[in-house]
Amino acid sequence: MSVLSQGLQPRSLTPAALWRRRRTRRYLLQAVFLLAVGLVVAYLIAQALDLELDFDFLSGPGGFSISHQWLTDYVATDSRLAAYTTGIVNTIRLVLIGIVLTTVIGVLAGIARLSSNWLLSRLASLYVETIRNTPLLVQITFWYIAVFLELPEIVENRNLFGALYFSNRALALPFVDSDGAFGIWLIFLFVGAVSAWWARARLLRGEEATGRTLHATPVALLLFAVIGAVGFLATGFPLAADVPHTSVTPFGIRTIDGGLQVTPEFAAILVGLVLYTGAFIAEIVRGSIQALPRGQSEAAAAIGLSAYQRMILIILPQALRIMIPPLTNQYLNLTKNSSLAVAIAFPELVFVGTTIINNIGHAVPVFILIFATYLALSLVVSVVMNALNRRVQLVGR
Amino acid sequence: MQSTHIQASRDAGHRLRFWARDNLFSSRPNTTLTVATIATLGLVAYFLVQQDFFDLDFSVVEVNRRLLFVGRYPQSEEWRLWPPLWFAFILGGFSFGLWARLSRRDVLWLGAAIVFILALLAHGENGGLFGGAAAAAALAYGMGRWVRRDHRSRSRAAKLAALGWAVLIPFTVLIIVAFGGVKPALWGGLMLNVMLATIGIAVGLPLGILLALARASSLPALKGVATAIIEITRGGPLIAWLFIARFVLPEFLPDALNTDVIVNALVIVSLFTGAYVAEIVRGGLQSIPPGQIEAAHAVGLGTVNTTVFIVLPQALRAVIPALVSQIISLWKDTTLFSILNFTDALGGAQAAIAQADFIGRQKEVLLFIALAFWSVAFAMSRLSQRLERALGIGVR
Amino acid sequence: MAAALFGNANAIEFIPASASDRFELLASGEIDVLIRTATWTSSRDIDLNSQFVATTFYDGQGIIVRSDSPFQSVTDLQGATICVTGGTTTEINLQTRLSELGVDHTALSFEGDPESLAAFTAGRCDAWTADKGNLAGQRANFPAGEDGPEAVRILPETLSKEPLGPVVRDGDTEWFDIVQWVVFGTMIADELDVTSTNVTSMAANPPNQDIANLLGASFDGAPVLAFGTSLGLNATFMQDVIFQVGNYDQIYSRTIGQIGLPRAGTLNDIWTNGGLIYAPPIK
Repeated sequence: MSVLSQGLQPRSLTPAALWRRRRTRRYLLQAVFLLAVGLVVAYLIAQALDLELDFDFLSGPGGFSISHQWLTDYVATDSRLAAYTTGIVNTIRLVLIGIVLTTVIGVLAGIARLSSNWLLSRLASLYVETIRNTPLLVQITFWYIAVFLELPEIVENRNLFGALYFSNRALALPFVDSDGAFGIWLIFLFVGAVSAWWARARLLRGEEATGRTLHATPVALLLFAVIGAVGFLATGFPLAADVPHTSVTPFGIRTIDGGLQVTPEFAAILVGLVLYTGAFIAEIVRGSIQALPRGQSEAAAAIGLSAYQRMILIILPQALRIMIPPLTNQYLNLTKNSSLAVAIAFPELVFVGTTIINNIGHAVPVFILIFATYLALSLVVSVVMNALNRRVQLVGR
Repeated sequence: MQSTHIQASRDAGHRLRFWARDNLFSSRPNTTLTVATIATLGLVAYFLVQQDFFDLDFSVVEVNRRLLFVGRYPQSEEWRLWPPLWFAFILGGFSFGLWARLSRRDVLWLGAAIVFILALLAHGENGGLFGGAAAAAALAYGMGRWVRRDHRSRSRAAKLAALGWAVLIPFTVLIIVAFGGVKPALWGGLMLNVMLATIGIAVGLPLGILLALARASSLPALKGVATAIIEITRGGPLIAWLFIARFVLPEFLPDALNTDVIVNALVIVSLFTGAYVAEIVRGGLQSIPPGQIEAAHAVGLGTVNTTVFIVLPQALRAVIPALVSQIISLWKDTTLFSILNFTDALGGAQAAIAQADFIGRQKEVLLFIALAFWSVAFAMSRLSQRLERALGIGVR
Repeated sequence: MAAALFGNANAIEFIPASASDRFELLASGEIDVLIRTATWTSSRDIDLNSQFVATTFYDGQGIIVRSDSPFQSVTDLQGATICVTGGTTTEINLQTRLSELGVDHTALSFEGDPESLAAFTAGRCDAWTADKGNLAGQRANFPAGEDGPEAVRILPETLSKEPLGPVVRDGDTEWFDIVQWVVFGTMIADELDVTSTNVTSMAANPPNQDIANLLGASFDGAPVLAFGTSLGLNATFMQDVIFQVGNYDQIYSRTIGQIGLPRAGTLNDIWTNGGLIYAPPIK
């Protein structure tokens, strides 16, 4: 409190000193920056005002038809919004099935790369190194025009074991066909699952209390099977095998009827996405397993677990903890990459969106819609994976 | 003499048998796996042969090699491509000699690639020009090896090489475009893919670093805007962004900037790459212990100096593998330009497939394109692994 | 066009456009005139910031099928899969016409003609629909490996009227006039039998006033009606155009005639022969 502070105080009020103050500089810098950003945004908005930005066009009739539909029944006279929704559903179908299959392939390939079996590990690394380093679009194009379109026509179709059909109109596998009572049987199955889960929990508590083995899991499975079987009989066999077969329409077109049918377009984009993403997942799985201390596997071997048990009970559950964040990223990549289907006539959401733009313009609102949809899809994937992550991290900690 | 031969071959046989026992048939499950794998492979091979999958005829690639390499680029201006290519080859060879050593396997792979391209270019003078470039690169590699013996000349050569890399892209673009050259709209084939990827990363990398610094900044305005740019960009697929470059951007840009769809697309690709680079660099920034920054401040370095000389070098070094993956991913993603009807390598391939003479030859063209992209991507990933080991990333 | 503007038919840059992005290219100024198979429709004329100049070819949508298929008419296509290029009037027409006829079908929409062709030749589709002019061209070039043009045939019905012609951006009236009168000029030359071979001698010594007006020459010492100059071009621009690219008939036979679409007796014949090719007079 003396000469020094007295000397400083008046000076800090001069403009120069104010300018030198860190806080002032920070605010000024930000103000200038925001001004610049604001100008750019204002310019963009001014430009955008010339364009049609309303979404009214979505209620007009689409006019075009959509070749692939699943759970939707859009027809050309329906609104463009309905067409776009059909695109969203197609994307969701692709992403859902894709995520399940790619995880299976990726985990298998990742484990195979670490296998002590030379042939298997070499095969897995060949798969990973070729697929990962080749453009996905080239792969999808290859699957479509060099593989699935090159399959024989139905006229000369090849069927395997009398039940699998490979043709360039559709791939067909035997499936199950359900009748009206199927829903009731599903209720039986649900009841079975709940009671099995309850029984298992009780028996496990019993095991912990008494120390005796009560075969909790087998008993629970048996319970589930019994309730399921009873329901199956009670509802009068709601399921029947549905084997695909060919037939000719009165107009001379040969078709495949029945079974589970997959079009070449869907097959190509699905196979492309699954194999591509699977190669990346394989690397994630390998890295996560390698990140575990060797002692884990050795200890498990020491207490007499088989290689399979070691993997399922000891290694994978722990590796899962490391795996989930990068895995989430791959699922998000798969979601976004599904848009490459535009190249091969599979009507997912970008395909439908650009068709609408080509018919009547309104590019800006359509792209806003497309980005909002991807944002929503990514959010769903992230939320589910984060929930899984929290669960996995809590277990055993 | 005779007996040692027999002994040796018997040894080899023994070794093979031991190796097979250890690696293929060590246990019952292992044997089952081996047998099952072989059976599956056999089944797949049988199916492919039955479908005439191996009935390949690569003449479609040879006839269309111009289309695949340069697209619709005018033939009369082809000479413009060679100086940059020579420059890049010599620079590449020299830098490699300066900083690394070719292993026998490298030589084998590179040799195979060069012979393959030479065979493709056998007709006409391009073969000679390409072979010359390869020879010059080999010479430059030798020079690089020679220069590195001496410490002083080595550091001078390193500066020279760095300068060379810095001017490579501007030089290339200048040579191709200037003095009545070829507009980007006419670039095509693999050349277009290479240009897109290099320009995309050359612009995207600095942009990404700036975005990452902005996002890590303590200034809320800067942080907010950077975060918004990064997240919105990463929110949608690249193909949607490219459609925006084609459909929407021309309506927004002032006429002076609105020259060429491909330039718009390049801006978009750079922004897209920048957003992904930013997230990678952010990871690197977070890995720097706060002690580093405190120490830098303690010795009197300002915020800017600390960032440029202390934080960034360490952060970038830590994320080199991820950055290389991003470059590889960009390299592969350049094929998306074919959806916008540019004649890039994949677009050229589709054009070749549509030719009446080559109906049914789509496999060959696509396999060739896949090979071209694969070899570059694979080489980059291997180079990155080597760099990682040399720099000791992840070891400390 | 380039012949008219710069006196050289090659002074032009062709930018390939696909069906899906062509109007955007035009609207964004990337291209000045769109000469692709663009159909003149009310919505395109009014909504898409574009203006159709004139009809240069009266086309109609048709359907091509394999020769060995049982389809004889459009109504036979019950249950068929039909390839079509997406985002086009072709796609919407197909939908409208076939549902009017009660023909239940699956339309598979592709990015462009090459993809549709690939899918059709591979047998993914029973039929492929596009403008007949286009289909005739595809048929003429049908790969020999697939048994050539005889392997496919075009069904007799025409599903739509497709007046094709050049398109320019809205608002640029001078440019519109230039493009329009170059097109009309080739039609008038056809009507007056001015061809690339006789244009030079006709310009030197025009046989009548109409030809003199067209070529920017003087007839019987009368003053020259230089309608080219009022367009901002050379008075003799039509001489360059006809000399370098020919009149409507020559252009037709050099391009569309090559793919097996005859002109005589069709809508595309000159009006004096009962066709629809009819240009306003130069006066």
